[in-house]
Amino acid sequence: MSESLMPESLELLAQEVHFAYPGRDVLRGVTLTVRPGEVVSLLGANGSGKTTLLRLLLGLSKPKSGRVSLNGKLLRHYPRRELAQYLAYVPQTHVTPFPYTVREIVVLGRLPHTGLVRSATRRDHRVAMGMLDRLGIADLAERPYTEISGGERQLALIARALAQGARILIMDEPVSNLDYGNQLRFLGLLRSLAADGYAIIKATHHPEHTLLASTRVALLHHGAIVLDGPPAEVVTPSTIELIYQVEVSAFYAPNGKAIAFHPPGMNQVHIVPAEGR
Amino acid sequence: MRWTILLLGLLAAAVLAALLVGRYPLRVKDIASFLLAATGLKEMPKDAYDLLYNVIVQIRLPRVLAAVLVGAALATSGGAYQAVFRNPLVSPELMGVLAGGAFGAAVGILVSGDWLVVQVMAFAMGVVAVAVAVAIANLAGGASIIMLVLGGVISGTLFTALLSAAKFVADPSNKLPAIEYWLMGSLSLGDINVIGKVVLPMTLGIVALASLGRALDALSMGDDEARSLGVPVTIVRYSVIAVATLISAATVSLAGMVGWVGLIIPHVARLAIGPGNVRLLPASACLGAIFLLATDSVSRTLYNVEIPIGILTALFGVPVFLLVVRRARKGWL
Repeated sequence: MSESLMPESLELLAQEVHFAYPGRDVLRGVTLTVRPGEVVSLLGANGSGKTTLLRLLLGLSKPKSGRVSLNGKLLRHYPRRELAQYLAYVPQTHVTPFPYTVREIVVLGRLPHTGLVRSATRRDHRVAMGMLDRLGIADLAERPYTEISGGERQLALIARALAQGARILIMDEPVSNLDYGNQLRFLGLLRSLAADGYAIIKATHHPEHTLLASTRVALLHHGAIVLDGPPAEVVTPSTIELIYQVEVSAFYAPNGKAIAFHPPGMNQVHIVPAEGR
Repeated sequence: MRWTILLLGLLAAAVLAALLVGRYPLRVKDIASFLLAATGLKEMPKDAYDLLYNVIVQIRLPRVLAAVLVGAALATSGGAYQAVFRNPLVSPELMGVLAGGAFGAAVGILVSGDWLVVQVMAFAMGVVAVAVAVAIANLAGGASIIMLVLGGVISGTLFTALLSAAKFVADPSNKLPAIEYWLMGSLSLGDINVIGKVVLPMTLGIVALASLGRALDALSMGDDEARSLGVPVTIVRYSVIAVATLISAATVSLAGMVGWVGLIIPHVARLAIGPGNVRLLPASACLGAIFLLATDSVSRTLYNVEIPIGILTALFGVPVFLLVVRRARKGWL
């Protein structure tokens, strides 16, 4: 675990990044950075370029122009195996075609350390079990990944990313397959990971979640970041209307922070005074 | 570890059994005394020694070696293909290697009666067919799985059509039956010289595939995940396809078309020891060898003419596959 918390500072940086598929511009000059301790949420409508941006940040595709760098060095100048020791990808939960055990999946996170041809060492298994333990799913270690629930799979994929020893975790809509309780637990996990010095960047479809667990929100609209800052400043009824084209009004907690957004006309709730309950 | 010892023990037993059974049955004692005589530790009458030498070394050993090599190579390449294409229904046939090999052999039979020519042609055209499939995939836009499968389907269709053309022009009284018989597969075609030449490269190929087990595990998660785990996806995928093609094309040249082994054996192995490719591929190699040794022994002894092995692997393969499907339904179907 010590290697996942290396002391030196880390910065993943995209500068003026452009990307296009034939006939369609996807990203037009995006600049974004993420550092340890941050949970950055990418908020944007379908097709706004979130997934493309994550792929560029992972070095999975190359920008048409602009640069993506880790600690000042372009991603494409890193060998894949070295990059994997800094950047980990947490995909949307999926089903593998073969019934690998949870432990086998997590041990794969050690690949960048042991190499392609050597088999996993005892230490690799120890690290993997440690991460499963940390996420509270050690008892699932020998269960087939194909037979556990969506929430457990998401935790297994995070355990794999942690076993990878990477401090920057890049997540694509991590809560999309989780039930309500697991979503909230997951947001709590993100906060504790950030507090431990991990840098997290995730694409999300839930404006309200960004208010719970993000340190920053970047608003992606038509391939450009239109706002990047603290959630309370970025996620407001007017910005939600801008990116999703729906009219909403905000609901506020007693401390004055927005906690929920509902469309007008669907929010006919009676707020019962506390003493009348 | 337990499994390795068990499987190697079973393999040794299967090899011994395959040496014993046949038109001229031997006992374990015969083989032991032949080995002692061959190493000069014990005397044996010359005519008895010659008889045993003929049966064991000249007749049965090439077949046994061919069965072990073909079974191990098909099963290992099948398992590797299934991981690379993330699809449990894939077998070495997918990229057109068998169709190409069949066409090559047919052409070899047409232009020459020499078995060596047939074997070389089968191997070469098997490799060419896969090269065509990969070239089509690249023309169509890259090394993605769907494009490779598409390339394989097109290449397979092309070479099947070419095979039909070769059959059409073949002399129906002698060449056509030879082609048809070859297509059913047989281990009786290999002579010890050819087998001796392919033992080392094929073994190396099987070991190479098995040593990429972890990379194959990562690859079966998907390209993006494998890359972000530090795996050079394109290089690994093409290397695995290249090695699997070479060793399965070699099986075609040794034994003709032996279907089903590459599809079912990895499933049997997966059911027994789990899907991790580090253990799965060596286990598949052992099980494939055992399966083909057993099938070949049956094909030699069941009836007074030898039954083409391709027929038996399919006939045995179907019930085995049904059993596996019933047991493993939850995992991958």
